[in-house]
Amino acid sequence: MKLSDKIFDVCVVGSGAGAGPVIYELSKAGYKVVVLEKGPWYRTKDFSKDEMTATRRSVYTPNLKDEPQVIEDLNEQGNWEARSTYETGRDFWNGNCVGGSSNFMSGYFARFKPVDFKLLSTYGEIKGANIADWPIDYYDLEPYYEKVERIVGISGKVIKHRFAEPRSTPDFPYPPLQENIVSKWIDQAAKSLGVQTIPMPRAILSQKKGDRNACYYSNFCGSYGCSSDAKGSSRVSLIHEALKTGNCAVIPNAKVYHLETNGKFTVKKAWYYNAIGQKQYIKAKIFVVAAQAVETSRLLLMSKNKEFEQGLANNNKQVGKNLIFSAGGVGGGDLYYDDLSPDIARELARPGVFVNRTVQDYYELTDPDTGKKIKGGTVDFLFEHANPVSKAIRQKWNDKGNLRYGETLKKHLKNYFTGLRKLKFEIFVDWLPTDNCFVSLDCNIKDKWNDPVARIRVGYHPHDLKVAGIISEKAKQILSKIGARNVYAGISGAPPNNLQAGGCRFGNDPATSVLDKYCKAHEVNNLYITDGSFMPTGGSLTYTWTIYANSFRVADVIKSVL
Amino acid sequence: MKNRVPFNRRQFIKGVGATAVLLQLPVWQSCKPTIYKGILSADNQFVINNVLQILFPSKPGPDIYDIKVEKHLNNYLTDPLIDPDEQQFIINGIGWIRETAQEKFENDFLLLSRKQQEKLIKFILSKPWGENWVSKLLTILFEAMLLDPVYGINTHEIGWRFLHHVPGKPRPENYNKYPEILQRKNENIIITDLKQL
Ligand SMILES: Cc1cc2nc3c(=O)[nH]c(=O)nc-3n(C[C@H](O)[C@H](O)[C@H](O)COP(=O)(O)OP(=O)(O)OC[C@H]3O[C@@H](n4cnc5c(N)ncnc54)[C@H](O)[C@@H]3O)c2cc1C
Ligand code: SF4
Repeated sequence: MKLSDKIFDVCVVGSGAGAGPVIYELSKAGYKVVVLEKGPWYRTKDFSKDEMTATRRSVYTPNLKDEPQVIEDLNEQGNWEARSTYETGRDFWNGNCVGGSSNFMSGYFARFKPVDFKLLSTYGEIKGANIADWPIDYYDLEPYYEKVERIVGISGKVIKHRFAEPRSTPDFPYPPLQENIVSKWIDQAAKSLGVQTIPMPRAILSQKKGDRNACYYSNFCGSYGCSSDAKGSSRVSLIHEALKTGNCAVIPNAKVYHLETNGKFTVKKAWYYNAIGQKQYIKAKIFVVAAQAVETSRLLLMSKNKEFEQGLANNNKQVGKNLIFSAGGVGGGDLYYDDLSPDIARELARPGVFVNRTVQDYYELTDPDTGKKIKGGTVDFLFEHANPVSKAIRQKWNDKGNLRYGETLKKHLKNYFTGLRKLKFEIFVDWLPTDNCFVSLDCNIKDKWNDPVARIRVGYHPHDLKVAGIISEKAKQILSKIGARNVYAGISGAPPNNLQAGGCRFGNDPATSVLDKYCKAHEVNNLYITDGSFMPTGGSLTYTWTIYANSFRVADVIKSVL
Repeated sequence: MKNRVPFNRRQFIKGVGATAVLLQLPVWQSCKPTIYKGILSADNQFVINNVLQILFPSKPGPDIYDIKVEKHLNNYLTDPLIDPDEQQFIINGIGWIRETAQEKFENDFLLLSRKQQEKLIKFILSKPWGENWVSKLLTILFEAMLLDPVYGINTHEIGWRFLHHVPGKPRPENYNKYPEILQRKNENIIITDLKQL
């Protein structure tokens, strides 16, 4: 029987964090699942700690000449200016292969908090922002957060604190990972400032789990595939397990370009280009899209059908709207080995072991201008990435903005690489959804298959910068207290390409949302979206734990309708 | 994910009155270098080696021959996945610095003293194209010094040793290094069993 003659129970587009739980649960429940993944299948043994493949060349992501996107930014004159990523090199792709970006994530995991589901009703409206409460609450998702801890594997330690999320289990199933000496210094410095630190949970196994080995502290985690399978990628933690059932088929190098409906608001076929560019299709009863927020909206917008002239599920013109990112700013400071005894300096320089510290005391703040309570955010501490080429590149320019070269450059590199370790922090605030952050189709630029590329407007709300500014001052104090030199912070509305959500928000009103509370498209009978697209607001945290949890929740819904 | 420093295609223009990308409008035809099967001509290789030596002198640490930057540059210039405009920009820069040498010293770059070459580099750094060009060459130098020796560079890990860099494990091997790993992008298969992997 030809593949195209078969009717699968479920066809899943994408295979990353949003797709994995659906693939896992439905295969295990005995349903026939087919996965169409745009990128290739890299096996664990294909990954190495090679900076060339991980970050210097487009290996895990497409070549921007073949597959650009268009970013619309405000220019100096205050006008929106659209430029192709091929022109600028500003890459918004993250990981195109089986397992998606979850192969390359650092695995800093955090649950959203009850208040994150009720931002509008808790803090009220903010002018210029499209804030909405979620149609579900924390307790609807809690059992699935717990499931992710067990099945994907999360290590950490629960401690009591003001903003701790309610839990159905006392602690994480895997104990915390090993830490660098600096974690203690952060704890002490924060304590002396009256601030509480929390161990950061990680989607990384500290102990063996089935076929997967424990983390061996490779020192090259974010941006790299994992060679022990300790990292909770969708590929090893979920898709490998799904394949063992015999109910799952994965077609790599299959780029979906159109979801065809039957004139009765039901998707019948997913059309894709295979590895050799041929047009193929798959038939299924239910279709699940999880191509990461930007590309999910793009696929829907490209899927124009008789009953959906503006794109699939877009008769209410909501697809692509209210895109959000998880960001706020970064900062850091330098810890000089010369300031320490040789033994302590050696401890600080110890590669591999983690910092894993976060501060959530600022999850709610008082607005200095109005005196009102506002939503705050999170700070997490981490070392500068050990990637040597990227590290050297950042040292190219001196403080005056001039290029270093010659002996000055070489001496500077030597001092920088051998004399200090940079401790950084990242701030995550609620990126407010606005009318200036959305995905549409570009009218001019096409990809290598001659399909219109995603055009992403990346405006932000000034409130985000205000909140991040308050938090960064507090984070800087902690670094200074530790004894870091050259402490700095950069607050920015520039979106991080890797933490995307929104675009197809869920809600009860079809006029203002694309999906219902079960993440089924209001306008389509059998279309579900399970990546981060569903989020109306994004907490003040990284998204992936919530993406995984929600996808497990939707998998239960799909089981109940199949 | 990629932390390549973003560039701007407009930076590939020399910008001294010319508004078209040089690729399309070869104004400096006279000394515009050519690539022979991706390899620089001997005199252009000589020019670029001189520039690289000034950017990356022999002390302290490894010199440009230890890290095999010439090999890396040639790989870079012939890599089908590096944007041709970026490659051409490196080549054009050689032409432009030779052109500037004529303007400032009325001599070919090849015949300048080291002091004059140094002055010239300082001078081009004040020009947008010069700053971008040197910046790109530095990136190529850093790659040659700090990427894995499996690429035939960073000989005996000399760059890593200079900066006390400890590489992560596993290290890349011939089958999973770049560009061999890209083969997987052409596989036209269906995976239904873990044993297939
Ligand atoms: C370097 C890095 C570090 C990160 N660190 C963290 C972290 O510490 N904590 C955290 O919470 N998150 C982190 N993330 C983010 C995390 O990886 C994402 O939030 C998560 O993977 C998103 O899941 P997704 O399913 O939406 O997208 P992905 O996991 O990217 O999966 C989408 C998949 O869809 C495929 N696809 C796209 N278009 C099509 C199409 N048309 N047809 C078929 N397939 C298609 C893609 O190839 C991809 O495989 C990080 C990401 C990166 C890149
Ligand atoms: S071994 Fe540990 S540190 Fe290395 S990639 Fe895997 S999870 Fe990350």
